[in-house]
Amino acid sequence: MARKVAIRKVRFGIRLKISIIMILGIAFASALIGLAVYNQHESKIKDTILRLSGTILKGAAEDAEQYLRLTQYLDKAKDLKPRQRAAVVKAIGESQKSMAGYFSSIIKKEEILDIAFLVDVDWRDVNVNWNRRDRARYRYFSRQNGSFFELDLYTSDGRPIRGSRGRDDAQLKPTVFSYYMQNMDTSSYLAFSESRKNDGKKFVIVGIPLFSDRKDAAIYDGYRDFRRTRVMSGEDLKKFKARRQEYRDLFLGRIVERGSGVEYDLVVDTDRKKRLVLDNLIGAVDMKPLSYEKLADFRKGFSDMFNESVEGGRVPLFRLKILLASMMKDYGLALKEPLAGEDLWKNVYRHARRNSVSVETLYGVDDLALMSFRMDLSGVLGIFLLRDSFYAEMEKNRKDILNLILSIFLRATIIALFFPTFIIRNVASLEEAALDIGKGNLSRRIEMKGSDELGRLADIINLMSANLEKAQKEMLEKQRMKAELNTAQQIQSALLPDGFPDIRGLSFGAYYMAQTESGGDYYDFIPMGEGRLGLAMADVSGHGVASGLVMAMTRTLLHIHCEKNGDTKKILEMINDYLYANTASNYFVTMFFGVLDVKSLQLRFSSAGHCHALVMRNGRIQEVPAGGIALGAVATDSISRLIESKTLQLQKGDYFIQYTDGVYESFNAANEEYGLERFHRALLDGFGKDPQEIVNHVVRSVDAFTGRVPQHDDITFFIIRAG
Amino acid sequence: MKLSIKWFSVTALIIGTVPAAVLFTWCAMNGFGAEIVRLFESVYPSGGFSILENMDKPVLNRVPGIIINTCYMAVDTFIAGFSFSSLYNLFVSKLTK
Repeated sequence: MARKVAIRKVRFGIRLKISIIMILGIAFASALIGLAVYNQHESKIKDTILRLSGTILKGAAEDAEQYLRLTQYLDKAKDLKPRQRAAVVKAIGESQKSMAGYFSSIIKKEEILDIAFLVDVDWRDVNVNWNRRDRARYRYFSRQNGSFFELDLYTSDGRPIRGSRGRDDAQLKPTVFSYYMQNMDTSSYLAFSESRKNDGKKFVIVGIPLFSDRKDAAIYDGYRDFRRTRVMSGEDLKKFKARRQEYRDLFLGRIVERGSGVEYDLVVDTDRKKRLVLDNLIGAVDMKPLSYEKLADFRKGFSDMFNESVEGGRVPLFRLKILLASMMKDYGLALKEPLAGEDLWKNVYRHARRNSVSVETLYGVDDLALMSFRMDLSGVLGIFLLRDSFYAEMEKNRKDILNLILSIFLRATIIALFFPTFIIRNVASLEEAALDIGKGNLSRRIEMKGSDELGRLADIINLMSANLEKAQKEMLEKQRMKAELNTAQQIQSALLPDGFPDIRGLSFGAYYMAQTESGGDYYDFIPMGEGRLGLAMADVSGHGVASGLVMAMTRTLLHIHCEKNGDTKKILEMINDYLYANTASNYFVTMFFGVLDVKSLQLRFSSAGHCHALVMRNGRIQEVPAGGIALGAVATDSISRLIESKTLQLQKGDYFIQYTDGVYESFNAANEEYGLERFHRALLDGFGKDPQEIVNHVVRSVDAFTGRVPQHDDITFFIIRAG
Repeated sequence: MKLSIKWFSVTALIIGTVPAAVLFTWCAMNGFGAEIVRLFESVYPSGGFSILENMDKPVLNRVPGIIINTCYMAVDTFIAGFSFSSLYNLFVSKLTK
């Protein structure tokens, strides 16, 4: 019994899924569009600020550079004469005054400018570690003050610390200075900060880098352009590499000249280069205190240790420093006066470069450029711009963009909720039709327009239901046919003897197996009275229902004529008359019919083209010639000449066997025929036994031979034993 | 009798959009019906592409505003048509059962 299939309820349906996907997609697209529009506005404002700030700051850049140059010179120059110092201070004052005048005039014109500032990067304090930017000096020009001044140092909670000389500005610290410390970018003037002052005003802080020498800026501008170079060919690549090496040497040289402790290796891959470097180092040491022997000893020791320090043709700078320091300590020596401190190592670098000793470092060219940039950076000139004046329009635009996005999003969401209805309607009609078909209405068809997947699915469902309907009709027809065939088989079975005649002195065995439900073979034992028994064996051409009907006709005719006539030939002729006149030309019947006198065991018989009968006597088989021609094939005039009446005398113990060709024309899987020889052998195997036992033995023999090969003809035979 | 939701929505879209497109174009050309357009633009944010806010600029600057406002009208009238026909069909099927 088929299990009932449950049909689920739709909870999270396609409609909802499509709506959610569409809404998410719309939200994502809206967010992207909004962000893009917002960024565009922001970029516009930044461009405006960049343009304005650049114009303002460039106007004061020259004075600012002059101011920084002089201030830093004054700090370094300790032995200036009072008159010289006064001149420098005066020049500083003039540049400061000029800047103040400039910013004052700008502030009057530009209400957006609030404070200008100048970061004085004093590298003696800041040193290589730029994070100590609190040591830089900050100077301001404010709208209120009208002149440059230095701010006090602020505590962490924002309170000023008196007398701290304008260092460590809490607002500037994380902005422009850090920006230039982290980016070697002379092209950008912008370093935004959304800072808020104590009075609640918001500012944008913008600055430009300043160098003590204008040529320094040109170097970095050149390097920036070089980084943008595109390599298009092998020649370009060569040039690119050569330029990169030039920049590497340039920046490394500038760093070394500035006295920074950057690490590098000297490439001393030949004895000449080794000697050059060694002589230069030894030459820097004041060796007057040494005796001649000690001097030779010092030179030898220095040379040996120098050679030990060389690895792979290179000697690192730090090893040279350690080596020199330890040797001087061991021999109690000092450097010559002009080369004390960092000057020695600058001299070593210059000497190496002069004598073609390569200098290599692990730092990349970008790292070297940034280090050099930091060291060359003299200060930062910047301004505080009132943020609100720029951003008022942007705030309005932000609101507009938000409204625009919300407006589009809401409409798109409504459409996203409605839109799946158009799809789901077709799905619903498909669902309804499929359910109807599932319930058994196979004649249901779906009408759906369109060339989409659902239309295709509708066509497929229509095809499926049409095929199911066809298959159902065929199945019903087959069932009806099977039922009819079963009925025919039952009728045909009823026409065959349902047992054997109970005649003293005779025993019987028989087997009948039709190939299909209805067969064309026939056998019969007909009591004819007066001690006579009719023996019939017939085989209608073909198989199936039609052959079965001819067989039924033949049987009826035989029984009718047996009652009136005992002449076997005459009986066959009469049957032929009827069959010839009333059956199709392709239906004919081979038949053996004999009348056995049960007392005398004399058999009178006639054969109409049927197989020879067999007599098994004394363990041997004899064929009984038959002859004749099949009934229904020719007219009676012709057949009477061909059919004969013959007589056969059986003896006690004899077996009389009659059969159809299906017995010996059985085939196995190798397409070999069972054959008369095997049939005879099977019969002889059972000699002396009961006829039914012999029948069973023969059947087993045939089955064993054919195996699983289906039976291809009706199989019928009977055996009678006399005595 | 039920309405075809799809075709009713399309009809509403055409009826609503065509006159609005004519109105927006006419207003962009010579300022006719500016107050009605202002009413529309007060609820149709255009992200800076407004018709009326660009009246002092060449006509081409107002074309995006015409397109945006017309698109708004098309979407809104379609939604209105869809909503109307859906609700109508719902009530018709409920009340005539």
